[in-house]
Amino acid sequence: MTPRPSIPLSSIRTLARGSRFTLAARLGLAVLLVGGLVAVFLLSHRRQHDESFLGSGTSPVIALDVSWSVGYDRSKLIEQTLKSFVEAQRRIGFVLFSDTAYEALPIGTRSDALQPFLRFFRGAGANPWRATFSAGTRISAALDLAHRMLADAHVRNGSVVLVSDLADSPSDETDLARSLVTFQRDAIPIRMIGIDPNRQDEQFFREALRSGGGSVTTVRAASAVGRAEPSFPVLLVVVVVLVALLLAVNEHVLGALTWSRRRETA
Amino acid sequence: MSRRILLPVGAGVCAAAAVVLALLARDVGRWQDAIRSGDVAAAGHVRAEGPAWTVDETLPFAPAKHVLGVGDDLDFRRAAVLFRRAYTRDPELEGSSNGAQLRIRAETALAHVIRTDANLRRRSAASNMLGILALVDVVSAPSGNVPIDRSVFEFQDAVRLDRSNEAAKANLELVYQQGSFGGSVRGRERLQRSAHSGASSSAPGSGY
Repeated sequence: MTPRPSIPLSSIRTLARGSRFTLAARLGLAVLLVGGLVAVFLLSHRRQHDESFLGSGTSPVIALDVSWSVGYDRSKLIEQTLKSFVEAQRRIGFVLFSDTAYEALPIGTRSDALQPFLRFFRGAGANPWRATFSAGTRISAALDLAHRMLADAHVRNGSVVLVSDLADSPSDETDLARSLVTFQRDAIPIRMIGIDPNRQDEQFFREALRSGGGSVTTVRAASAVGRAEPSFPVLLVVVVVLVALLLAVNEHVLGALTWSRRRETA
Repeated sequence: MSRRILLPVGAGVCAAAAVVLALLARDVGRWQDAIRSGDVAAAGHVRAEGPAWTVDETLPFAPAKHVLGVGDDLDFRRAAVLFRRAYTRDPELEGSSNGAQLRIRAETALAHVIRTDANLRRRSAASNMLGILALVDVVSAPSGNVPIDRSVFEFQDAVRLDRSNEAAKANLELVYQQGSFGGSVRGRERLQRSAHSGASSSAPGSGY
């Protein structure tokens, strides 16, 4: 290996301090760059996880639609969604609704208590609600019960996660308006997970929830659960990598000056 | 650091700040134009898409909008446009599913204004509009047995928020006199207690 060409200097000590400072600054910037990348990854990963499952509110109430309109073909999607709630390991409340609603699990229950419910959405297994409970969809019934549960449990910063095909009954519109206004007034966010919903229904709820900080996430394929809203900042990462690459090219092509101690000639 | 380095660095920072401030000033001016043109559009015929009231700001994260603090103004304007679109006085549309959906959008937007706006008069106006839409909900409900209480509550709230809101007082009076309140025992008692039951929600005034 041939030694790198350098400028011979007699007063090398005068530059030593500046050299150390430059080295420290470079190391600091490198650590900052790598740290920034790691932070971006971790933050976006955590946000995606939160958004995909239960939001950031404490003790969310999950309301699951078991009406006729949520048929057999959507069971797998519901199972996947419930499984994601179980994996979230949070404290939750659980409501089952059709044209009426009931409290299946009280607020504060660990989310793995949803595990026994999964089997009812696994293929052709018997569904205990199908015969007597499943009828039309009244989303207002679920929202009203969830609101009562949050109020009774004195939960602050509560939220509601509603899992449904969003095909609300036309006769529910007046009550739905009242429920949504109540949630808006009490600043309780509603997060709707649309299980393969009709585009019109999805659009309607998206617009109705827009002003209240609520949201609608749609799930159209079993594999899409948890990835419905990819939030990884690809563009940012590309820019950062590009900048790092340019810096490396700069260092390679326009290398910094190096110096060495001048050899005394005899 | 020596003066030779500090001076150019300082000059560079000042130049960059000047560019940012110039762009900010330009965005602020564009907001003024956008609000004016949006108001003109809103005053005209109600269209499905509605006026935009938006500015594609040059600087990232829309600092001009935050500096001007126009967020609540825009929310109120948008809610008012949604109200106009939902309250058509066309019984056929208001009784339809489309009409109900328009009302839901408007009602949630108005409720947002009532909760977040710092201006009491605007909150009162929003509450009055919400009361009107709640009344339309009652009239056009297919079941026909929707209670009128929500309208009464909204009109009372509007009067409480702004005692000079004459429209809300008149609406409250009308609801008391023409609604189911007049037909019920409680409603009759309420009317007997006060000849000006609507206006009595505000503080009593003094005579000449």
